[in-house]
Amino acid sequence: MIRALIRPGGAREPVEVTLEQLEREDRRRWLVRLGDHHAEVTFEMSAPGVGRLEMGGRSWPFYVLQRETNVQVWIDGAIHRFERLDRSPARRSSPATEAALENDLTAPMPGTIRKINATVGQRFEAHQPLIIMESMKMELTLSAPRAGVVRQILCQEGQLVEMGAVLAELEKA
Amino acid sequence: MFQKVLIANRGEIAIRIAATLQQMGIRVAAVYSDADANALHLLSAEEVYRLCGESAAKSYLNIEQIVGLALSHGVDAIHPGYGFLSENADFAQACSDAGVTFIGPSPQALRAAGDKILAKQAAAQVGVPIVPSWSGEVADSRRVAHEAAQIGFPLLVKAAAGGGGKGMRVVQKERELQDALGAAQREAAAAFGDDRVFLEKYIPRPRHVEVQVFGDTHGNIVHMYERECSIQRRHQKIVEESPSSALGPELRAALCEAAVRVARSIGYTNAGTVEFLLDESGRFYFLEVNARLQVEHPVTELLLRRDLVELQVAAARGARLPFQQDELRPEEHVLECRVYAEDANAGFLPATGTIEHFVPPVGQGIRVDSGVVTGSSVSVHFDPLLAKLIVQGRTREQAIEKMLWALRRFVIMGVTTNIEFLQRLIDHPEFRAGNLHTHFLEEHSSALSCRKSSSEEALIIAALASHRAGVRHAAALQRDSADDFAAMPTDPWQVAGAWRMLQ
Repeated sequence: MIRALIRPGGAREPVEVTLEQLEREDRRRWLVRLGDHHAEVTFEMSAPGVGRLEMGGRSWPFYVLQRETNVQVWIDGAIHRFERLDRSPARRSSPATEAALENDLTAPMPGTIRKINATVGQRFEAHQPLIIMESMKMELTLSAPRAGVVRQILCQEGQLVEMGAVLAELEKA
Repeated sequence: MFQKVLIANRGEIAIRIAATLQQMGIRVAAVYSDADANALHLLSAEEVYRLCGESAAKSYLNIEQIVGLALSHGVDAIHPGYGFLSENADFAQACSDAGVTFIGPSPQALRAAGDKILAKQAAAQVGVPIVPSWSGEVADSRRVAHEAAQIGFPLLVKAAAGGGGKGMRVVQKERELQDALGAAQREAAAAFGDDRVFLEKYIPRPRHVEVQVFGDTHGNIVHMYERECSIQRRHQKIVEESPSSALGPELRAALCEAAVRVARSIGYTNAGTVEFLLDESGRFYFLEVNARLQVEHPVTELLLRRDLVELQVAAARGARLPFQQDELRPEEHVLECRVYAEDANAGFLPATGTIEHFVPPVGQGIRVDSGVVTGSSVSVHFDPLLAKLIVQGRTREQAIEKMLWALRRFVIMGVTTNIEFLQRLIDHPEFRAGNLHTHFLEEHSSALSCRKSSSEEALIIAALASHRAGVRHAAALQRDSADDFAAMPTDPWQVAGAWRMLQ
């Protein structure tokens, strides 16, 4: 029997799913337990990331995409996102990294830095525009989440940045 | 007949134009920037030329280089697609000077359409209504009150140097006018250092309806009916359809006739679009002329079963229009959705990444124009349009059902898309009822935002698929170590050196 801990996107708590192969020779047939109910399913993958699930007399084609612990499932016109947690579910982030995150100005999308309206040591008000980014012909102004001082600037005008890149470190005034 | 045509564009539109050229027996030449060295549109071409430029997007804007390539490779004509150089009069002129045919309007028509103020004046001169406005000295309060009454309430006070809603006020009644003028002037002075303001009629909940027009070089101009494009975000269209549910036969005839009049007044040739705003009482106002093949041109193609690119090529060659106005009769309802790489739940921010699964829907009356496949990377360099999904039905209801059917079967994974958002939009009761306007998405944003749906089937698939991936991973590791063992030389002849020593 196999136990899997899966957290649906947006949910706080993971769900425990247990999987049991029904027949020794047939790796498509499974008994799946989810909370207090269970179902017999047929799970077949015809190509990498492509397959079909049969359950309760119904059949669904699906597509699946796995990147490290993230699993995305396309079924019935919608994509559902999950995170697979292994035996020791890693904590999302420590209080220290969360505090650091709060003080960083990060890129909400990949793109080019158009303009930096801030210098190190500069004081700024809440909502003051600090950095202007451009991505796919769209401009986005990154404003200060609250009043403070610029501690460090970690990007340059014209630079191409990834989504989530730290562009500037801010601190409370 | 042209022997070879260069497409000065990329992505889905380059592929779509190439399809018609191929059908016409014309050799296709494509261009690419370094970021597009493996792009899909190059597969459609017989010849490909590399463009140099300081950035990917700027490569496609290099007039001198593109005309130079056309000359050195014996290209007869250039199709500019949409965006990039498509409405650039200097480019059209440079082509003409080099003896290469520009597949589009004449440089003169491009200039006339490109100057928004002159285009409005031209429309007004031939009796086509424009949004009523007045600019003058606002300190003369009696004069302002008179002009405001002429325009009618509600009206807008707008900053002359304006943009982004700054220095803008909606005035419902005459007695609010003076306060609004003062406030708008102060705001405009603070925002733009220029306190000039003007009055313009306020059109609440307008619809965006445009008319496809087409002219040959012999003075014939026809309209090819309308497209309604009221569903927009950030002034960018995401759903287009024809016929518009806002037009009855008389209004349609008046609108289409007005579009032809505007096109004729500026000596328009080739494919173009005349855009209008339509207010709630059914009055329409000319906005501008788009002097190019539009993104949403497939709506008209399915509506009338005509190939607009083929018409463009023929008209550029000097052919007469192959039909009369009364031969164009729409019989179907056509709906188009633009599939974008963007996160509709996060303010429509563009998304990037590599497309891992791209499975477009297939069916009768379903057309997909796209520039990507599984494995394509979606970068920050270009517009996030991944595909256009166009469907036709006998009625609007049928087209809506077919669109929902197709959207629910359109698989794109690896990059966030608006496919699920489009499903909620098309299925919205107000969309189904045809009650559209340009603020539709803001007005219905809560109903259109993502509902957290949990799917037990998806959860089971996630568990089984990740288990299977784990098993395969472990098996691969085992195989690797077995391979290492197998690679060790056990055959004595392979360890010849040592063997020989023993001999």
